[in-house]
Amino acid sequence: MTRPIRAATLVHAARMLRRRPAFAGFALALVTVGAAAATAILAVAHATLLRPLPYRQPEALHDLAVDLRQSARVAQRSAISARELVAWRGASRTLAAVGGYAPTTVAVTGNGSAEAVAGMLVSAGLFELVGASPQLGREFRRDEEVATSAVAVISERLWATRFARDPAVLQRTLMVDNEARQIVGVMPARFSLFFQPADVWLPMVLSADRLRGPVRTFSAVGRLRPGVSAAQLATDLAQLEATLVQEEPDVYRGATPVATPLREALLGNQRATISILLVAVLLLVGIGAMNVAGLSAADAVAQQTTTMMRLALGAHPVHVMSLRVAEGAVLALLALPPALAGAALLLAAARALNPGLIVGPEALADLPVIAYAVGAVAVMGVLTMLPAALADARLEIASLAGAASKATGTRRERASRDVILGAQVAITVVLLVAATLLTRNLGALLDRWPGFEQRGVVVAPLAPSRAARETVQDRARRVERILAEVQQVPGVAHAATIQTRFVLNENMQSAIDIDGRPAEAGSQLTANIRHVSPAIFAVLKTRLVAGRTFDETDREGARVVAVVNESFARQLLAGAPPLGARIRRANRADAPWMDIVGVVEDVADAGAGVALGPTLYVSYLQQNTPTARVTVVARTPGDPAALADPVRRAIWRADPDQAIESTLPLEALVARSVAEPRLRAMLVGLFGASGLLLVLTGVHATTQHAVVRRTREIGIRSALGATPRSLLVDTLVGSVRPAIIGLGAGVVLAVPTVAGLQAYVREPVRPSDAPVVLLVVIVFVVLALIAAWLPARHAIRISPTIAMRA
Amino acid sequence: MTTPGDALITLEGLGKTFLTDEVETRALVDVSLTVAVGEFVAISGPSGCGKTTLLSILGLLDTPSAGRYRLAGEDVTGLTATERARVRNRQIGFIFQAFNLIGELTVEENVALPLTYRGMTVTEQRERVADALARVGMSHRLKHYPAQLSGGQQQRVAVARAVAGKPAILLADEPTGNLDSANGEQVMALLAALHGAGSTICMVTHDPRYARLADREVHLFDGALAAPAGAA
Ligand SMILES: Nc1ncnc2c1ncn2[C@@H]1O[C@H](COP(=O)(O)OP(=O)(O)OP(=O)(O)O)[C@@H](O)[C@H]1O
Ligand SMILES: [Mg+2]
Repeated sequence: MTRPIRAATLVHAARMLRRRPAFAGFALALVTVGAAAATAILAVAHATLLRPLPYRQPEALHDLAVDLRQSARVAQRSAISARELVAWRGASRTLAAVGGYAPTTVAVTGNGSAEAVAGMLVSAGLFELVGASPQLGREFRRDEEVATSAVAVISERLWATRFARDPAVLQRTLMVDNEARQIVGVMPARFSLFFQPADVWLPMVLSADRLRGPVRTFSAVGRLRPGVSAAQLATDLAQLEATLVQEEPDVYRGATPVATPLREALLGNQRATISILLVAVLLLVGIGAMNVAGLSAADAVAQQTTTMMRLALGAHPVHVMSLRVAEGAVLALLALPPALAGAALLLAAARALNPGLIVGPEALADLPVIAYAVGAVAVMGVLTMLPAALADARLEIASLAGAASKATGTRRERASRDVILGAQVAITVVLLVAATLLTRNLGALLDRWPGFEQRGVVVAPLAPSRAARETVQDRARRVERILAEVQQVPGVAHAATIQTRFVLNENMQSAIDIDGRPAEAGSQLTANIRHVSPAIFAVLKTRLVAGRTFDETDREGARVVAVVNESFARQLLAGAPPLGARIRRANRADAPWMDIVGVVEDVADAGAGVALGPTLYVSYLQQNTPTARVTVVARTPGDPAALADPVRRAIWRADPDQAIESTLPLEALVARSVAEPRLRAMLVGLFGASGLLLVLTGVHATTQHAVVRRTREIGIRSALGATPRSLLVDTLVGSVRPAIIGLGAGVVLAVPTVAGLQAYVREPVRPSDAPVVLLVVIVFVVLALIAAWLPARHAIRISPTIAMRA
Repeated sequence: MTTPGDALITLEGLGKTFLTDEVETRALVDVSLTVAVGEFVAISGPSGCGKTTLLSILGLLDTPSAGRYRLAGEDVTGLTATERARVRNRQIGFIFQAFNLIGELTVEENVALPLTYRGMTVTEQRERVADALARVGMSHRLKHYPAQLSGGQQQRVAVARAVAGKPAILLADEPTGNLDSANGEQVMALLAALHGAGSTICMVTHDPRYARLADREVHLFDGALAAPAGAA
């Protein structure tokens, strides 16, 4: 036989499978689910770990940053300054090109309603540096890196929505932050730099007046010249930094440039999570394959008579085995479309749970990924039928050897089955324990009082106004006008503004001085800073611990006051009475001293469970800057979602040009801040649940298989006087014992797993979580016993008379 | 206990009918039979006449559809499955045509198996196993697995298993059926020796040479006794 599998064989195999709908259905389901999970995770791994970044010669690209560590212990990775960017771009001998960028939000007005969109400041030549070019027009020139250039490059989306794809768009202007900018280029659809989508790119300002001072806001990318080593690059950048130290020692002393391969810098932090998921999925698919293998071995026993008949009628053993392989191929073919659909569904679900994920269902539209999917179904399909094929081959040998013994099975056979089941259980226990702890952690994050009542609040972050000529009072009045309008909205009980957007890890900090407590040399006290309107604590229902909150009299010209949180009082004032203490911001020489008039509880406004530490509140009506963000928060006794539109319209009544980033219930924002832990908990939970299901079907199948295979032995034992009860117990113990050993191994393995998880959770795992592990174990044992008991019942129905039959 | 000459087994009007797919097979019809303590009875008859069925009922592997069965003075007709298992374990030793050793267990463990179902102490089990294996001349193969033994050796181990529990009666269904004549004779010699030592034996056999070793021959024909029963 030269070609063991022909089309006719496949057709025959399909017909054979159709005659065993239960087996075929179950095998198909397992192959599909296993291949879908494997394909999804392989697609993610491919996109992040294997596929080259979508840039020209991506391996030459390096992320450039500086390490500002004060002591040798902790790296303090920081963005770079405009001066560093210019110095490196101008004088590096190892880098062919250097570009800088900084994400931002801009308000787009005109040609449609006011809209806050993602934008990015980029240096001239950055697009060229990565090998991208606009589909229309050009990118920025060096002479445009000045404050007065008034040019912009827009996205394909903006071109479509605001300019109806006008081919003459390069003759038109766009209002960006109330400033008309000439459109000089349109980027292709779905173009994004470094996975940060944007609709507007603006030239960064690198004029001489911006090159002094400590402001570090730019990310940078450099392209290595051919043949240059990482060490040469490091030396080169260090030398360039040394010249900056001479020019501006206060700013550049102690700063060490760090170059990281771009892929590592962009995706390095995802690698651990992806690797964990990859391992989890492979383990899961392994468990699934073991099960299907057991199933197919049982199927081989069930098909024994048919197979023997075929062999007796003169079929060649290879023929019989190739039929099995063909059945596997048929299963694989049938499983491919649903497996791809399932993978897409999984990726879409992951993206829905965490919109920040850079990989979505579109990752499947990639030839290598399709190849993975084909590989996954093929491997699963063949694995499914392989044990049956081997069993058939053994059948042949056995029938040649004659009916030597009626004894059933060897110890080794049973031991290998037990090891497989035990391993499955161990893996599943680890997954379940991890999932349970992650879920509990999530619950703890959400249950902990964040310092505000999240129900009944709508949050509307306003796009920053870049109107440069506004005074402190102008801005205060604008906010008061907006709040007055919002307050008028039916259903709004209170309204106020705060500086945060309640986004995970988004925080504003300021260096501060405390009167009568000079900072130690070389160290600087810092605190989070929030510019707020007076009613903020009432709106958020944040508890006042001492003193008073802000009121309408805390405005420009009056005594300058501040409110601090409990962490501030405890950590920075070190037990001294907070009320009456004097503090000031240390970043400007003319910053006024402020009297602390109140202490409030800590507020976790940068994501659930994120402890922010010392926080300083100042009155927006008294002190503000153009860059201090304003976010409107309004409380209602009713449904905050219903307020979204009225609040938006109220803001526009006060200022028709004000761009509003979004209007969302605070609850939704809090939920979004735990998207990542939720996704992790759900994925690991999903894997754990699938593992549990697989193990239970495994216990069920092995028990059933054991009862069928050992029918004669059970009959003999019964004839020798085993009572029905002891037969039942023996059968149960036989199939549950390996599971219990696996359970023990799983619990032991769970310890390092839990330790490893510590790095991923905001709420630490405590010894009090031990009952969780115990609960998992108990539930597992009970379910495993039930799964084994169902088929084990049949053991007691086996008649001892079969011992009499030859 | 029972003394030689007492009735160990009494069957009165025993019948067994199998119902399969609406076909009724009357495997045994009105069988009345007495087996005395210490007696060696050979059961013979053509294929399908009901020998195995009769032995199954005698061994409490199966229940009769009609009639009564008294074993050692006790009516065992209406026992539950668990009670029958207990009686099988204590009173009956089986020797099967197919040996029926358990492949995963060693010779020693196979012989001990019926004893484990009694909750006997391990020491006592060991003694009994050693004793039984010595009687069949298999003491040197304690740790072997059945697959490592010849057919005759396997059947001798099976005989040891049957006698280890000191049952009231040994039931053998064609014990030599799977053996060549040399091995068959060896096993028959064993049974004769056991009988000589006082064991009660019921044996199904086709072979007239072996049937002659018994005290009495019972003929079955179409499920009924061909010779007057109980005429010892
Ligand atoms: N479980 C059963 N279901 C249906 N019919 C049965 C069953 N067991 C036995 N029989 C039938 O009862 C009759 C007696 O069978 P039995 O096995 O007792 O015969 P036997 O005398 O032992 O034959 P052999 O010498 O071939 O072993 C046969 O006709 C057989 O087909
Ligand atoms: Mg028979």
